[in-house]
Amino acid sequence: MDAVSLLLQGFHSAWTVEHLVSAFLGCLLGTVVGILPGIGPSTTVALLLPIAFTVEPSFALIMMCGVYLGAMYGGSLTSVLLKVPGEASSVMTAVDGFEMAKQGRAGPALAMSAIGSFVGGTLSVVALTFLAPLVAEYALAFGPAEYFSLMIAALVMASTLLGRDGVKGVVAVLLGLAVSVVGTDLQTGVPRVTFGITQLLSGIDVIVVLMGLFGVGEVLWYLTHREEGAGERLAIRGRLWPTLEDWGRSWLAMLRASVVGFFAGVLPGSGSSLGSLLAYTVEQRSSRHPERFGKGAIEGVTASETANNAATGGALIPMLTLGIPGSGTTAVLLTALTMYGIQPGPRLMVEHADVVWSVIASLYISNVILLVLNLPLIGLFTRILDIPVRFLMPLILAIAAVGAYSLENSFSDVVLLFLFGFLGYLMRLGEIPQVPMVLGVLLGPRMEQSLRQAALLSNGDFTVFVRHPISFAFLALAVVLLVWDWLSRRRKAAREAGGAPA
Amino acid sequence: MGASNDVWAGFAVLAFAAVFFWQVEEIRQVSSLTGVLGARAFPLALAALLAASGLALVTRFRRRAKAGSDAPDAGDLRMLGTLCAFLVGYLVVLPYAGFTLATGLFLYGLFALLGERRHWLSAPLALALAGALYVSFHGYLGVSLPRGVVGF
Repeated sequence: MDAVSLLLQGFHSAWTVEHLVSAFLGCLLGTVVGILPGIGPSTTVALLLPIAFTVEPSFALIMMCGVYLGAMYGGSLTSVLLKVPGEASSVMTAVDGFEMAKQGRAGPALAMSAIGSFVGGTLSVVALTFLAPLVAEYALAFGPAEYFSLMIAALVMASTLLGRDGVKGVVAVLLGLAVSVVGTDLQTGVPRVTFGITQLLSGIDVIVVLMGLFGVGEVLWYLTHREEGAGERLAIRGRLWPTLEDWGRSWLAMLRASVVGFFAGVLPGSGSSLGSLLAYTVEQRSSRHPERFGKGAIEGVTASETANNAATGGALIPMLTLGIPGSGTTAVLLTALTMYGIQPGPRLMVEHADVVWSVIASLYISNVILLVLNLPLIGLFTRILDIPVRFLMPLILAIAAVGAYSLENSFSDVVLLFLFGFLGYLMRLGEIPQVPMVLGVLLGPRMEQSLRQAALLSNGDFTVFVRHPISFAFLALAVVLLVWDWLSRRRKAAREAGGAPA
Repeated sequence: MGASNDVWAGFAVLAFAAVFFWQVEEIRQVSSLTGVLGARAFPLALAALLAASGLALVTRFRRRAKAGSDAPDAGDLRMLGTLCAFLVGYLVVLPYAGFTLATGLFLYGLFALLGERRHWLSAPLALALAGALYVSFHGYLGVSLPRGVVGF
């Protein structure tokens, strides 16, 4: 069956009261968390995981995707009005958005953000609709050697693209892989790295790691780095709707940023922050008036917001077709899938086509819901900023604690949650990115399994990884990325040393 | 600051690698029927790679110290210590006081720590939020939360 027919079936399934409600709730919740600084979509979706146990997969996944998209929409509000990005992906929006707000043009900036988000989000879902089945079909031919090498390439990509430091990215991945081996080895039944603690025999639940790093860790970091006295919040004055000139400066930026954001989203680990930064840079370089950027250029706001939404569709491609998440939030979504016993990978689109296509269809619907929600309700959403942080952050800690406890009715999960929260704080301090660690925890078991299967099938001949052309290509990509990262950082260090005063 | 961050991060990774290696050495080698790679091979490779990356962080200290960088600072350490004390206290009190009371106290204490001085507002709010969590997770999701002496 072709993609269009499958999508129509997906719409048939998504167009039920139950699924529309889940999309609406997800979008609303996502917009709220996007606005609130300190909690992001990864945290929120991670906190929703224990609740997701109790509802059917489509309902939970549609809601979580709504949160993911909504957070991208909501992140623009604080960027424009406060110059405080609610999300890392909205950092570039703050550059020109706040300047526009100072000039009394917050309305058009926010309206164009919402429209750009809708265009970028929708175009990326169109690309997802047609590209995902192709990638999945191609990936069906992958054997264990190809899978192992693919995961190596994905983890290297995540460690080099995220953060400022490739070595620290690699450390994060290795930490995640190390966590993934804790527990009983399923092939031999031997306990591994359990320190003799019985509770660790069943391994460390990835949900506890996610809630610890993204929930507790973020709260600890936020509360220890609060700046006294909130920044000035600018009001929305004058007209909301963009002028004809605004449209003229923005429509091409929307199209360019949709493409840039989508492909940035596909790269594992890079997510929407890279997409937003790249799209802004592309727009500035291609502009006939680059001097306007940073001084209230609406095309800068449009590019950033379009790209971070376009990245969401891109990030879902490796997740749905290869079982490799493209961002922190898709890593949590992948966990939700495995929680339902749904094995991620190329067969997902065949064996659980109903779930996948109803989720894809719901993304179209969610984008429309978000546009409808965001344009008229901008004024109302700004009121969310009045919720005091002193009430919100403790509540997140309590929700994370009860969520972790509810997984196995066990104290040890709450202890682990707090330990991973503290680790999350230390990682932030050491500038070690957290998303590669999460990817390591998630992909570790499958990676080791693929390694062992490949070794078994080849009678212990490890050249199998370079003899198979696809596997070789993935490994070569990983090596090229590592070398490129090393060289570019060396060049940067040399430039800095050369430019530094004697 | 960035360079010194690298050094302690490097030593922390080396320490972790050492502990991890010790645990890997404890893994029983079973002559498995399944083939070539036993339970120890993958973790052993990880321990080696962790040690190598820890060393890489430590040894580049001198190079980075010259270049300098704007790494983040640790922030308000007193606040961090107090927050950690709250988390540990919560874990200790939870089994005895039960979920609702322990969470209520935890939230009330944190509200006060973060600057809420209106106790007539924060105390009932903390209890109400703890109660709402209890009802959601115990009543709706069927999670068996710690009952303690209070019974809920």
